Amino acid sequence: MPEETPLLLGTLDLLILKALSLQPLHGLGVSRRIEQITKGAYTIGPGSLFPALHRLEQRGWLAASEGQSENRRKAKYYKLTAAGKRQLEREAKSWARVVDVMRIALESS
Amino acid sequence: MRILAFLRSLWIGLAQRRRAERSLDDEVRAWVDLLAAEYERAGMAPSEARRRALVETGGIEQVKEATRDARVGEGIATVVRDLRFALRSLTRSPGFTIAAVVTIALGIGATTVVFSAVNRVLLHPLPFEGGERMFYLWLGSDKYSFMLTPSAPVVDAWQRDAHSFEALESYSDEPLYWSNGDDEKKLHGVRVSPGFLRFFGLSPALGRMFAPDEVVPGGPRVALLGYGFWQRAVGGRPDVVGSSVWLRDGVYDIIGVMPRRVAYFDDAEIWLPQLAPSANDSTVQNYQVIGKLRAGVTPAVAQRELEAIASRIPSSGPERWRARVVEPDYFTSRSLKSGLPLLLGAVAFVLLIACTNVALLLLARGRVRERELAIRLALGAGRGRLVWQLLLESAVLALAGGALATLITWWGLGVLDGVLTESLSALSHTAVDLHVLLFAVLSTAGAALFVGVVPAIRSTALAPGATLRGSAPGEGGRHGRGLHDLLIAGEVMLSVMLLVGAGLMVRSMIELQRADLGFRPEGLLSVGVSLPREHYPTAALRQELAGRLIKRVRALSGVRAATIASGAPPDYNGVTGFNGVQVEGDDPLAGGLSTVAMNIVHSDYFKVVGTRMLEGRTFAQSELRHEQDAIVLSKGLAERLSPGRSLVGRRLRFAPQAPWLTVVGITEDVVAGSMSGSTRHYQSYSPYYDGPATDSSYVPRSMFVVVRTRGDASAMITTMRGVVHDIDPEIPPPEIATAESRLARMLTLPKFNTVALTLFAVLALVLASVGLFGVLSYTVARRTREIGVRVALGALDGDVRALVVRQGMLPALLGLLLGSGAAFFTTRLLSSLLYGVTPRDALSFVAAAIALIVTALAACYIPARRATRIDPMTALRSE
Repeated sequence: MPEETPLLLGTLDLLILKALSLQPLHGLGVSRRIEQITKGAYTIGPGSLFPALHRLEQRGWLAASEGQSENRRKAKYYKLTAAGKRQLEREAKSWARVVDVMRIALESS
Repeated sequence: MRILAFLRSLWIGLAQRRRAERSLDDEVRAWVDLLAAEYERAGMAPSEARRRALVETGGIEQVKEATRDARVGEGIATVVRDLRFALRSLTRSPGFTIAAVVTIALGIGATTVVFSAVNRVLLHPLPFEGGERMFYLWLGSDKYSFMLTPSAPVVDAWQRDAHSFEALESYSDEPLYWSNGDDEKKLHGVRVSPGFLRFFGLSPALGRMFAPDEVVPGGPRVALLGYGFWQRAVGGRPDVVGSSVWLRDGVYDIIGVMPRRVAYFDDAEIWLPQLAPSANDSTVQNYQVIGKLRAGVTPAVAQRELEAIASRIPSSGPERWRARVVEPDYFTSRSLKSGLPLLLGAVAFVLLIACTNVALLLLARGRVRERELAIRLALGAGRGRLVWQLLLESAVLALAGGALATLITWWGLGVLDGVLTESLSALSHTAVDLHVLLFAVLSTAGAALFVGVVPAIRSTALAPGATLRGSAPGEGGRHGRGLHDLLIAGEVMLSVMLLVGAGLMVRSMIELQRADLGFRPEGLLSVGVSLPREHYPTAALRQELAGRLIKRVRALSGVRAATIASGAPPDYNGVTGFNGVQVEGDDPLAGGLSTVAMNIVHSDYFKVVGTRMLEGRTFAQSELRHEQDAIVLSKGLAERLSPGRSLVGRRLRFAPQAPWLTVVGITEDVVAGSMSGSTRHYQSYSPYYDGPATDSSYVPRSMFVVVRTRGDASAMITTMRGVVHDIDPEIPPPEIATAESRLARMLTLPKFNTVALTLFAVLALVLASVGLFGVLSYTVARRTREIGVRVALGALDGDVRALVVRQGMLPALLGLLLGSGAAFFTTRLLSSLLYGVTPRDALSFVAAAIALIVTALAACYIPARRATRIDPMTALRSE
């Protein structure tokens, strides 16, 4: 059984941005995609996901539109905006730096 | 870009709420649908898939709620929604809302009014820029206890050399005579130093202040008009500057108009410059000097510097007068200074009681809404959220109460102004200033919290299950009763304290009015005449005029008797203090005498005024011809000087170097000056010189014609004015007043204090009994079932009544006990306001207790009756 990986604050936003980097998705789709890219480590429920999605939309990193889902129902689709793309790059870079630093610090004796 | 997106979200959040709501709803439902579809694809049955999907999602409402909270503008929208809800719920019970708002308004309004007055009189001696650095400058002496205004050379030297002061200005009152055609009108004039307006941060409404060359004697004659006078006399014409005004001693050019509100003398009509003195003029002038200390300089340091400067000026008499730096409220009457804070305390009690009543109202309302609140709790509303909403309701009530309170404050301040301006020396109207506004806002907020917190917490401390099942209401009663009773007891305690205080003040007032005045005020009139120096330069002339005047007055038909004196009761003229008084044969008096009124009278004075001679006699004719040999004392003074032994026939002197005087008579004590507290005013009477006048005789220029009229004294006022004018038109119009009007003025403040305190006490009692009534009615309603059971089991009407009355009287009696105890210790604070009554006067305590018990019983009456009307059948069936 895989160890429980806690979700650090702020990483949810980054994961959402990454999840939407390829194509627009609706809410459930984002959750499934995150599950996929984290290799099953994180399953985000609607109670956490929707607030984050709305928050990111308010900050201008996502744009929402009406679309049709797989089962022919109306659904709200989220797409990454240009600003969102830039934010994703920025955060990914700084995240990599943080990881390096932490690894060095924790492995030193 | 970010900001734009933010604003857009805000716009959608606030203005397009409904669309946003629907969109959110759709979105969450879509999630559930898609999840269900996934499960179906995985092979589940549709209904099972849907069920799994719902379970996994959690509550749709919860998800929506969480998302909503993340939205911008949600906070504001929530408050707006809560506010609307609070308003709606309040308007649904108008009776409650009106009662609560009015109660709070009365409490806050009354408190704010009294606080304004206190603020005015005590906290802000002078409401100007740098007011806390402003002080009066006087001269005091070790020998005498009174103070003198400094002489002109001293003021001059201070103005030049005193570095402790940023500015030093002087002013004095003076009657001026305006020649208006044939007539001569007496005007209220003021002389000021040129920097007077600048000192207070003011500037003329029109024109300019005096220039340096205008304060030199012999320089150009200039004047400014008072604002009110300018409006009245010339209708506020701007071209009044440049025109002239005819005063008695010449033509004055008008160079400006004073602002509407000046520091003192708002109603002064003409303003003249204070002329610089000639170097040798060291007589004591009547200038009041006020100085503004430099920042950082203490009064003590300033005083030392002033003394050093003054000591370089040669003084006129043998006396050494030293500088005194005095606070501006030094002269505010003690009655005012101690009375106002007490009234503030009293009115704060009223506010507390009012708020407690509203809290009780809210508690009762909370009970009624138990069901609604329980449902909301069960639906998942946070307890904090509910408490917040309830607090919002009380805040709305408090706000409405506060708004209404401003109306009450406006009215109250008007009333207060009337009383205060009488008693405060020349300071102008009480306005609603920043401190007062702050106070009102804070007390409103405090009221809201005080009133709302406990009910809010109480009402939400429910076990929703029990409430919804319906079994809670009855049991909840016992728990709440304790708190209710405690609150009522608290209210009663405060009311009792106020009642006792009011009782003491009322008794004191009665004693005041019954007090033996020491003279007969009915029909007593005093006419103050001041002979101008130029026309009456010698004592002989003055004596001659006095003789003619008194003959004329005595000849009037409405006059029963008249005499000439230096003053008449209840005025308090010529006060002096002495430090070296000695009765012949005894040691000099230890401790000295602080206030002795020195009167100069003729031998018939005591008869005219109605003061009884207790021992000895009045002056004989021979004594009127030898200056200052004989003296008459008041009883109090005689007792002080020689307790137990008669002073008649013995000699005394007021100072080591003073001549010996023979005491020829002792009169009863006379009330003069003020009537509050227990200050005894000593009176001494010296003979009016009636012999042949020489240049060295002392015949004063100002005198009072004391008249006992046949009928109403005030009717003779114009006649008297006419007589003086007829005798010599050059004499300025006299100051005339009846003893009765002066007495009434002396009583204004004590009367005000008494009326106000009684009003507050009655208000408190009424509020407390209304509270008791409300709580009791409510309890009876809640215990309907229980009472029904008792009656069914055989209880009689009397038993039921007793039950209710006992329930009601218990907290009342507890409050009475606590209140009496507290009053026992705190009425000491009133002692400076009481006259002839001790602070622990038994009668007042008993009367207060009786008033309370009677009122409490009355409050219990209706609920008790209602309880006896409970029909056991209906009682048991309901619920």
